Amino acid sequence: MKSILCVENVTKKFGGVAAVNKCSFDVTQGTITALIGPNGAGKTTLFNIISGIQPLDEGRMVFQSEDITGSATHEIARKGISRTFQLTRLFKNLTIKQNLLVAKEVSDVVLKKMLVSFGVKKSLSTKCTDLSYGQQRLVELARALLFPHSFLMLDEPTAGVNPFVREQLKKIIRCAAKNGTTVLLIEHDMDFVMSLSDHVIVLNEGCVLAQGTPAVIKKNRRVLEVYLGK
Amino acid sequence: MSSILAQLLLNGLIAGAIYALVAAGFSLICSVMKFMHFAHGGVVAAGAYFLFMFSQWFSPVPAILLALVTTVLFGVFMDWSVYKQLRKRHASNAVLLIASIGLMILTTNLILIGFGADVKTIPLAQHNPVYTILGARITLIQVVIIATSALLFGLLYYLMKCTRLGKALRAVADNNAIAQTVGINPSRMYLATFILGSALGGIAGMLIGLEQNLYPSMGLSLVIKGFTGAVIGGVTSVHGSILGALVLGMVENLGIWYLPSGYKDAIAFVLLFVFLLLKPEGILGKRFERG
Amino acid sequence: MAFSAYLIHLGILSCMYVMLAISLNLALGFTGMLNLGHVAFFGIGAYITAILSMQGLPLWLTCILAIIGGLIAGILLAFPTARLRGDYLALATLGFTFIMAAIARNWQSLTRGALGIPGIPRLVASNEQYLFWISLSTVIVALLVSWLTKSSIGRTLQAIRDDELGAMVLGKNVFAYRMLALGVSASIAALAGFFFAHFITFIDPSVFSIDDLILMFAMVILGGLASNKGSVIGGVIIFLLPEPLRFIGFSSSIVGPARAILFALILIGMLVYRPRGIFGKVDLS
Repeated sequence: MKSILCVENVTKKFGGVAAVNKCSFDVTQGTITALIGPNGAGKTTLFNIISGIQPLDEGRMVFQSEDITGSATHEIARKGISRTFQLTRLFKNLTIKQNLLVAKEVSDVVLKKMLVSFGVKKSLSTKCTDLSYGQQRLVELARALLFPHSFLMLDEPTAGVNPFVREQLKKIIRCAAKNGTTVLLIEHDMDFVMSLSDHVIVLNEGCVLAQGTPAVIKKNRRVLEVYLGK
Repeated sequence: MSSILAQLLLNGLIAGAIYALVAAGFSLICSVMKFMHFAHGGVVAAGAYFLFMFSQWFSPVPAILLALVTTVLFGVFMDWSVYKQLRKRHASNAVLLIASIGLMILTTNLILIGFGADVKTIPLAQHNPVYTILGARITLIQVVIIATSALLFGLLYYLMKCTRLGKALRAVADNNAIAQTVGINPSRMYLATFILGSALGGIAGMLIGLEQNLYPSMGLSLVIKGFTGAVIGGVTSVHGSILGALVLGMVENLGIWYLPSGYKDAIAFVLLFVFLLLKPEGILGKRFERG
Repeated sequence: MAFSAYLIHLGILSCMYVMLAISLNLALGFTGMLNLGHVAFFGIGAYITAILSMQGLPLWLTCILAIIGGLIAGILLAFPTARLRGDYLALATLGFTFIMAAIARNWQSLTRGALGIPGIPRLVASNEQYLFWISLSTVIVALLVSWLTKSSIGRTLQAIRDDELGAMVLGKNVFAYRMLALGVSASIAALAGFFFAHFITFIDPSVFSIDDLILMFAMVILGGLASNKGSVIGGVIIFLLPEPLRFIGFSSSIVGPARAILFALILIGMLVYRPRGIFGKVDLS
């Protein structure tokens, strides 16, 4: 049980309000870990801090026994942390192929095979704005997976997609984990989280409220209180 | 020595007052419309040249009023013919900015064709007695410039803080979407902004025209001072811009103590550059984004 | 005979403007940098060429030094403006243009100020030869930029234009790429300035004029952002369009402003009615 990412006492304040407050947790190598919590719990902020998009006020982060606190976004990415966003960030004027090639230079055959396995049956030269929202999410995930990585962060992968794409996503994430990728994902869809993840971290008001296996979390009284109200 | 300092300070105040008039209109439009209206310089130049034109045909008061009205119409026409069409297409800030530079160049060259490249003076300004304060010389027109600026800034402050229109304008400047939900019609506010901004620009142009020579590219030089002042004080804050422009006027004129006078213009650019790099939101403003 | 000389004259200047349009498009269209300093890079190239060739430096050396000067100016501008975007980048780069113009006007021991630098030696004896050299350079520049924009570097530049954050999380050093784009763009503009100085044989601070900036923007917008083909065609069309004005019999004091008005009207008209130009597939954002 080797941890790939250690988050230690990370704090981020906006004005006087702490969006993330002395947050500490480890992500174990080779697992699928879910980060859940009510809206405003600080999940996306935490993602942005890990990928170096937002600077942190206190604490530190260690990735593969290397301190990445304060590193630039592109440097952190090059250490092997790939990610997607809550709202897809495809390069809107580029084609599917160009979008994917920015992540890694590979042949058309590889790209095509990847897309087909993802269930995207569009030509590589399709402009990405001509894709449906679900397909855009899949292409963004393909791009994140193509980028050389050992750690994958997904910010609400199922937001706004239909049940078919959701199953597709589940399959892809499982497959990636099987191939050695450690996955950290933010998700609101509890069925999705519980059926997919090995470990669940519950965030509330910027603090870790509870963590454990899905079965343990499901029974945790404090988690239920936060989600269902007292 | 002290009289030289007094003179430089006074020159700084006069220059600052002129720049502040330009900056106030520029920043009013920028804060409400959320784009940089470079062609505001064209409106300022139009104010000066319209006064030059009308003062050849009419006595001072009607000439000034006519020049003011035509300048405002010119500014509103710019908005209606170009900016409004671009807004309809949801054009980006970058497009509006490039279009405004295009309008600026257009105005300068229209003046070149209409009035020629030679400098002009407005015949109203023949009687211009000189007074001495603390060893510094000041002309009547310069007194008028300072007094008019102060009066206009007072009026503008009252308008923005105490009237319904001012509150509505500030609401649109703050958050256009929310302003619309409380029943403020943005197109009417845009029109009001261009009328107010162009009137300020026109008055600035007329005052400058009375004090200095008119030349076709005067608008570009003045809008550079105006937006430099605005950047120093904060582009989206009208009183910040006025303050910034006064600072610019002072710094430029005091800078002549140390630098050859040819570098007077360069001072503005260097200040502009430094503020953009170190404090782009200015002294009093905040960064603006268009939603 | 006079007419063919006139055509050669037009050909030479068309090539120069094509170089300027292609290089502006690299920064503006491909990388999404609202750069109003392009005319300054052109002026820097022209001044370096004029000053050095008056010192008797050989042509090939002034050419290389002009290109290097442009490259350095581009990189120098990229550093302080690294964090500026959109309107603020536009203002800062415009400020850079003004500062360069102020230096050209005021550093009289170097630039002779407003008097300008006359008597710059000509590159080659005849305009026919000059047309050959500038055409050759233009073709090389066009091929180079076209290769660059199709390469993985160009793809990354376009990705940065569309979404900086998206490019960063894919490990791209946005600052380095923007610096590269601005540096290459600036060195090509400086090369155009080199040709300008040797062809006109006189330069003064008006090479930093904002009117020319509008001209370059009109060329790029008409041709289409992020289209090299567009820059070539836009450059030629916009440059040649006002030429008939000369034959209508207007005095030269009218032709100059009339040209500027025409360029400004085309630019504004394109922005309003056809913002993507002839070949453009990208919007300015």
